[in-house]
Amino acid sequence: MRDHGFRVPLVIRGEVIEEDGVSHGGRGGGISFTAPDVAAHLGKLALSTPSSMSDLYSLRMEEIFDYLGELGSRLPPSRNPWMEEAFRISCHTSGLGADILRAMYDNMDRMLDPAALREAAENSIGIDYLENWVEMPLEGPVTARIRAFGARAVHIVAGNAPGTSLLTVARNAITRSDAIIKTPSNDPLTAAAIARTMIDMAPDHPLTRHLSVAYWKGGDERVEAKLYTSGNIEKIIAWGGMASIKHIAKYVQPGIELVALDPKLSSTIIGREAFADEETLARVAGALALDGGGLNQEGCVNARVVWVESGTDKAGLERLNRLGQLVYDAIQALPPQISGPAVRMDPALADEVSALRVGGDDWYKVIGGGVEGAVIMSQMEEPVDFAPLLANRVLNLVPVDDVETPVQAVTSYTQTIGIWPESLKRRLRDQLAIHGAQRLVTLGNAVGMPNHGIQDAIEPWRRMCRWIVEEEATAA
Amino acid sequence: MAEAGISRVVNAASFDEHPEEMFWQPLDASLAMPAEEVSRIQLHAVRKRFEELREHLPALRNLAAEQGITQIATLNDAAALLFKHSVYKSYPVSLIEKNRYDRLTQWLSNLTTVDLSSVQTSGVESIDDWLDAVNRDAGVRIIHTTGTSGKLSFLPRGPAEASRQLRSGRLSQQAIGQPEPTGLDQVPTIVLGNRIMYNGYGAMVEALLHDLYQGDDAMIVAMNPGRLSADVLSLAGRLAAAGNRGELGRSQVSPAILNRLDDFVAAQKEGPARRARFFDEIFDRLAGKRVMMSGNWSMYHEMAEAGGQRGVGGIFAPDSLFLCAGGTKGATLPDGYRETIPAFLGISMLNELYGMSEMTALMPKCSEGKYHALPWMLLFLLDPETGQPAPRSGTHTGRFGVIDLSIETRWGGIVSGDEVTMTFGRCACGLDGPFLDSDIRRYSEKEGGDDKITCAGAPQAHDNALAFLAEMD
Repeated sequence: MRDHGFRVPLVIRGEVIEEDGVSHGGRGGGISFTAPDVAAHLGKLALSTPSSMSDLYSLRMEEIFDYLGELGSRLPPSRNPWMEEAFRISCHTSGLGADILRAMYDNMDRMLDPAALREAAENSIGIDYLENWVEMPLEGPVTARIRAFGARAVHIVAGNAPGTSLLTVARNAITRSDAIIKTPSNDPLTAAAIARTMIDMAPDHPLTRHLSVAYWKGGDERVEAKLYTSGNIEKIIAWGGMASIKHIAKYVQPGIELVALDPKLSSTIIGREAFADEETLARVAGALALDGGGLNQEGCVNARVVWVESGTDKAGLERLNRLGQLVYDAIQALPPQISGPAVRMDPALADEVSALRVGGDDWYKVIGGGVEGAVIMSQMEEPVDFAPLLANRVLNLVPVDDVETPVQAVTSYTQTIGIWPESLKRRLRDQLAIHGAQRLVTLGNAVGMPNHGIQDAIEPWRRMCRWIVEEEATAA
Repeated sequence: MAEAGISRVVNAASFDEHPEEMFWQPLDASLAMPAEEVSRIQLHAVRKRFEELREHLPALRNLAAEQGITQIATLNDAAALLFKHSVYKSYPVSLIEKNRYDRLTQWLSNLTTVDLSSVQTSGVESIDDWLDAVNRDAGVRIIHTTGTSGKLSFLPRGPAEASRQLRSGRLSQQAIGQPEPTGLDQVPTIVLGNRIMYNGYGAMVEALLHDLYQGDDAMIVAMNPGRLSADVLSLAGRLAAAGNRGELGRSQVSPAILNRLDDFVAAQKEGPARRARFFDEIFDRLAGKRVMMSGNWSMYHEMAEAGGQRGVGGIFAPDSLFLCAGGTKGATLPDGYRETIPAFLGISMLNELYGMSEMTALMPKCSEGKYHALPWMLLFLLDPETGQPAPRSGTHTGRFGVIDLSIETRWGGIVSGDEVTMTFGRCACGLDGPFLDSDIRRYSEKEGGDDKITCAGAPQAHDNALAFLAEMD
């Protein structure tokens, strides 16, 4: 069944608006849907009165965690028709396969586990700062008190995984903010489905009344020029690609802060110890398969270019190629709820890979190359020229004589680096950080993200808050 | 001495073995060949080309092995053997950054039957030098892209193809049903671009100079006497791409290129004045004269605008030859441009054609506005997603693919980036198909970037590249 012609609602602070205002999509085999014309509802969507945020401050943090925990228990699609519909639509739009998506939607309750959220809030903001004015003793006759307040924010969320919408809802609640989520066309329903679940659960709750969800076509001046003003919002939290961030940046002005969750790519460094014996090599290959193949390589955390200290002489290349074969096999053996064949091949990438296959073995060896993915083994100390395109479970193994080579390749666009063995990670970590890397993990753990909220060093939790200081002059 | 480029007597019995011979029969004879006969010749010819070339071209051999093709039973079987454009840029770009032009030559030898072992790359420190070296030492004239990503595609044209370049141009200058133009060795050529360009346009200019004008440079009137530099195009693209990835400043820029860059930037600053002088000259010195020019609608529009500003019109002799390929190149032109531009030029019509630089000749447009295949062009209409060929009957819309059977030194099979509507059958003009509707667009238009091998967009891309590089100082 094709899910064409469905309806995406506009949710404004507890109110659901369903009108067939504008048609979207419908070209090139994509989905088509209708949504209300957001421009016609801007007066209501924009929260021009900051004072209406005060109801959030009647809530204690524990009440917020409880609310989110309860929301989580209602999200699994088996008992939630809104989420079931969102899941079904995402099967047509996502780069993730149905098995992976099913597992993600089924496990959404875990993302709202109160204990995990409490830990994340504590680690990344500090619950005291969310709850109270925290006293800061200063030298001299002044006492300062700091508190983290929420903000009125537009969130431009990414569509590569439905968890991004849920994470946004959770962060918005915990920071006591007012969120307008602009949904992506490749996941048009998840955020709205969560909002509707909140309305069903607690229609008048302040947390329900401080979440709006809207779809408009990115770049629609009628909406953006009016909404993105300092009278209406204080922050724009933008996930997304280079073009999207650059586009949004033009609305940044005094009074509006841009929290850019930049496009990032991740990589891997494997030390020479991997080749100690066949058993070790197989273990390394298995771990690398998880980093490269998990989530179908749709995440910013996924390994793409893999630097291997195999050596670049003939024996070194043989070692590298052996690892390549093991990794390819290990990716193919990943269970379907973790990884599967490409749902949508990037034609540009497929062309590049097929050109390497046709072009001969001089510089690159290729295993695979269809929807199942591929491992490209560079036969020289360089990644493929199209490395930024790597996706669809296509990894590029690059042999090096010295781990200094990958250190030099790290930039501020590098996010996670999976490293093996641990001793190499500790040896390189300062240098990698100085070059721009943001998260260094044990190989095999790139995709599994602990909930500490620090993942990409951008500190979105802290930056979603407005940090307010109260100073009290004390008598000398 | 007979004028070069004109048709000669050919033996139709030789077409099976030598499909390139069809080039030399009159255009109307080529177009009048019955589709069935053309299909028969093409099946024989594509088998022969495949057999010959796969021995010499590893890339073709690998593709055939990958596709599991050992023989070609039907014409559509050959659709699996079309190269993707990426094949012509499958070299590591670091070869250029590290001046390893010896290895780049070695890579190119996978794609041409011409022996490149005589190419001297010692001392070559730029792409421009390398293009000259391969041309000079092996007679292979490379056609390169504008390289929006900084990585240029390199398509080798061998001496066999070069020998037909002038004839190819002549075919394009002739309207269907009209006699072949003659006396062209006395007709100057206007080039709205650079004097030296390693693209399809530039290859034609070289052929005119050497084969038609016997080396008389004065017959080529180019807007820019300088070179369209592949290095400038490549460098700007590489730096822009590096900037987008946050790697700006780390790209290795060779000193040899940096040294030349200042000259290019200085030359570009003179651009507007040079352009004005150029138009003054052609509107004055060539007014009323018979001239030749190749271009696209937006180039002719630019010329007409320049004329409008000077208050001139109906410039050239009515038997001048203007051919127009590549549509409007994305530009939006004022209403009625199809009438106002010929009027400005002083002619009754421009000869419109469709094709691409990967082909050795273009497809002429008939009285019904359809582009017709010439008999050495084995066309395919491909599913844009799967690449599967449509049946060879009826009308279909999809991706244009072609095996140019006249090409001897390279595999002539290529998948285009164009969405076309192709009909196998008889056209209302009376000619047998296959033919294309005139409404053609690029798949990449909706996706943004494009790195088509292009004749006409290249000078613009070159200017943009220089502007970008100049700003970086």
